[in-house]
Amino acid sequence: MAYILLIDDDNDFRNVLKIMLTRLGHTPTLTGRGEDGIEQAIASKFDLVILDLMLPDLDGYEVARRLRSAPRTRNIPILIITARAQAADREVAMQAGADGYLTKPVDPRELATKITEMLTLNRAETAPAPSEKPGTGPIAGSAPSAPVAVPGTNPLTAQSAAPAQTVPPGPPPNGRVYVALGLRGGVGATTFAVNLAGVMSRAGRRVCLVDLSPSTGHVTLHLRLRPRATWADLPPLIDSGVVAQFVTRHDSSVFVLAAPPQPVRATMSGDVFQVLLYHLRNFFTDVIVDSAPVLDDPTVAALSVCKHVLVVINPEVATVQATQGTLRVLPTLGLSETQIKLVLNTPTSETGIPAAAVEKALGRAVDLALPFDKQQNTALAQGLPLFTQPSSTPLITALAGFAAKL
Amino acid sequence: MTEHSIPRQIINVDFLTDIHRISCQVEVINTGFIGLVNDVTNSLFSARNVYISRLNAPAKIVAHFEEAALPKANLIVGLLSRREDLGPASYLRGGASKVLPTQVFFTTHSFEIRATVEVVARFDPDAILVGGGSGGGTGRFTVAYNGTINSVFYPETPYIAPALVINRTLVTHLAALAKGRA
Repeated sequence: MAYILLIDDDNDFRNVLKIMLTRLGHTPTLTGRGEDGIEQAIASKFDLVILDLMLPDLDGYEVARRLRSAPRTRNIPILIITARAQAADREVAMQAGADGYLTKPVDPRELATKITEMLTLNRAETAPAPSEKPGTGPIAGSAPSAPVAVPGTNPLTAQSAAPAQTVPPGPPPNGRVYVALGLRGGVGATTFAVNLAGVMSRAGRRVCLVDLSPSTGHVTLHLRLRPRATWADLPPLIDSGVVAQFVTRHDSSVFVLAAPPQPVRATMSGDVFQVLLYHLRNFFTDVIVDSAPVLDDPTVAALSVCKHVLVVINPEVATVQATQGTLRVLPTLGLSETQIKLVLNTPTSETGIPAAAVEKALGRAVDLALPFDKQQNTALAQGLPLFTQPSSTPLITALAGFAAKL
Repeated sequence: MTEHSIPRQIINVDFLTDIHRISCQVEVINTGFIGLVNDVTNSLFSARNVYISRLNAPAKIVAHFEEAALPKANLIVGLLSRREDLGPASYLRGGASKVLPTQVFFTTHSFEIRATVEVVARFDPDAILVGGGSGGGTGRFTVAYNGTINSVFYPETPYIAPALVINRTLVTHLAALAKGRA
């Protein structure tokens, strides 16, 4: 049972939804005005806000923005239900902080599924992490507690003890997997993966970013996230409920499966990661795997189910040499030419090898050339990635165009 | 049947003019939305919960009115989220039981529209733009389906609708896509 705030000026729709939500076992509170809805959301505790975009006083975009900016309401999931059905409406609503978007007339079964899904994800985020005892969970704003790895119960140490888990039979889920691969450190693969996830989420896609680094992944640094748990804390048997508890939601609606905060000696097994990816693909439309700069088991497992591998390179000699080798190896792992996308990143202002020379050396065209962006260093220091900045930069514009074609 | 006994329905519509997007609700009777916009006895119709946006920022609401009058002559396209809101199928098809879906390309002074029209037997521009057929009759609007509408001035934000009505007096070009490319 959940407490749901419904903000919609259509009296008939409010009444219909009230009946529907009550039948689903929830407790709805109804209002027809945006200002009133914000006051109620701040005054009481709600598990979900259902919001119309066209309201007589404040429009729904503004209501969503204000709910996201108020400390008490910033984590409440917001589901937009509106008659405005165009892609531009959806995109602006997602940018304003919405987590879901349905258009009127809404199908009752679709609405029930969406509400359940949003409540499940939110509860998983707000529940204490599995490795924490009740009452000892991290308080917002305080330093996160270090993950507790119990010997014999996590996928790093229990692979031989626990029975091997396999992907459930049947057709694969619909979620698409992209692997951001830079087989030389420092090429900007994580920066690329974070901003790619951000622009996809801004476009209304439901995105999960998986940081596979076994040596202090930087996704949480980019997004200034304090994850409650990381993949190193995963139990040996993984199901969708477990997965929902281990992802952390960023304000941009990107979900993150974080890497452990300190180096670990072993990564996940390929089988465990296959199962994990299976469940993530059920939840999300797009799963971006920020792989470690090595072809370890989880990376190979991700490559085996990915739609595209996004090979991130720099315009410098050593990277080009490493990429030549990478391009020779990838086909042996079953990847076709069309699955491989070359991303030429320019992380510094120094002029490197010209793009044409890189293409000649690699014997193939670059699929995306990202320009140098001097705001990137500030973005990393502040934990505000470029995709969250109010004005679009050339890098984000190029990335958004690329993401739209993926 | 008295005025009060006619069943009425409220539907959501997005209208596009040269400069604005008008999102509103209109009340229709058993002839559906096409019956409302092609009612030749009225040049205007009333809408409620009207939200105005500009085409350069179609998601930004710049004005809201509880009620407004919309002159049919200046509305270029009306976008609906459901085909059934257009009206009864027999009415839309002009009595024909079998129709042929045909991909077409319309232009107006400010929009390019790709959509499907339903024609009887063969593609006949006269039936779509001047005479009856495709729900047009003697009315101002013709019906199309699965449309993508691009504003010439703001092409980065196309509009998509499963059902739409197009003001045929404002159409500057109509061609079957099978006979060319666009």
